[in-house]
Amino acid sequence: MTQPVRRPRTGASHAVESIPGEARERASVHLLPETVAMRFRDLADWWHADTDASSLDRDSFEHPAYRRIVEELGKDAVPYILADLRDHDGHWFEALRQLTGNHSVDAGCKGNMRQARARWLRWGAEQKLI
Amino acid sequence: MLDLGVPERKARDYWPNLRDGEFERTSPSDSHYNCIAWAMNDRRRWWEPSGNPEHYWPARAPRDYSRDAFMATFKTRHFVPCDDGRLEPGWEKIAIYWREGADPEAGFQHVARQLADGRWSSKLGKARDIAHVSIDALSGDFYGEVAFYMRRPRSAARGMATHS
Repeated sequence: MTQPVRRPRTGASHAVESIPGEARERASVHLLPETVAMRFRDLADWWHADTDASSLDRDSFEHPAYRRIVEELGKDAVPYILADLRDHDGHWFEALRQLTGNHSVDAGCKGNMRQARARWLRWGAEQKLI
Repeated sequence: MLDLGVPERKARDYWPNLRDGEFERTSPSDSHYNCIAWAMNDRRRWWEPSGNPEHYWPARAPRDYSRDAFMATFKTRHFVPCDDGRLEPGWEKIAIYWREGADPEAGFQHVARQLADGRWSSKLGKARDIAHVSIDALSGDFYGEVAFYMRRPRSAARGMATHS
C-alpha cells in the first residue's frame, strides 16, 4: 500500500511520523480526503470481515482496524463512518460518540440499534456530512 | 458454500465442524440483534452488558462480562443451570460457549437456544441465524466450547415478553 499523502497547514512544520494518534490531530496535519476515503474503506472492510461473526461489540472495538480508524483518521473519518453505518449497518456508535463528542444523539435507545442508526444518520444529514 | 453472511474462508476457519446438510439457514444477515438476544427470543435488540445506549441489558442483571454475570442474567429470564443439552420435552435449553483464557471476562463467545425438535438455533454475530443438529457444530477456536447449559420451562418462554 502506498503511503498516504500528508500536507501541513500553511505555516505548520511537524514531523508527522513521530506524532502518536491523538497528538497528530492537535498538530493540525490532515490527510487528503481521497486518502482518508481509501484508507477508511480498507480498514472498514478488514474490520467487518474479522468481526461480523462476533456477538459482542466489545471485541469489535478492540480490533486494530477500528482503533486505527478512530486514532489515526480521527474526525476526518466521521462522514465515511456514517456512510458505512448507512450502507453496511456497522456498529460505529462508540466511535461516533468519541469522535464527535456528542453523547445525546443515541441516548435512551436501550438496545434498539435501528433507532440509534436512524438518529445518527439524521444527525449526519443535519450536519451535511452525508 | 456455507453462505452464512461471513466471508467463506472465515466461516470455515471459525466453524470447522459445521457441515453442509447438517444445518439450515433460518434468516438473512441482520446486525440489529445478537446471539444473546436470539437465545432470549428477541430480534429487536442487541444484548450486551456494556452500558452503551445501543446495547440492551436487563435492569436486574450484573453489568459485566464474567461467567457469573451471564448466568445471573439468564436467571432473570427464568433459566436455571442444568446438566446437559439432552432434549427434555417441556424444557427450553440454552448452551453457553466459552473460550478459556487468562481474562475471566473475555470468555463469553456465543449462546445457542434449543428448538422443540432438539436442534439448536444460533445467531452468528451480525450474520445469519441457523438451526444446527449438533451443539458441537460451532465449537472451535473462535467460539470455544460449550461450558454450561441452562433450562427453563417452555411455558415460561411463551409467557416472556421479548421487550421487557
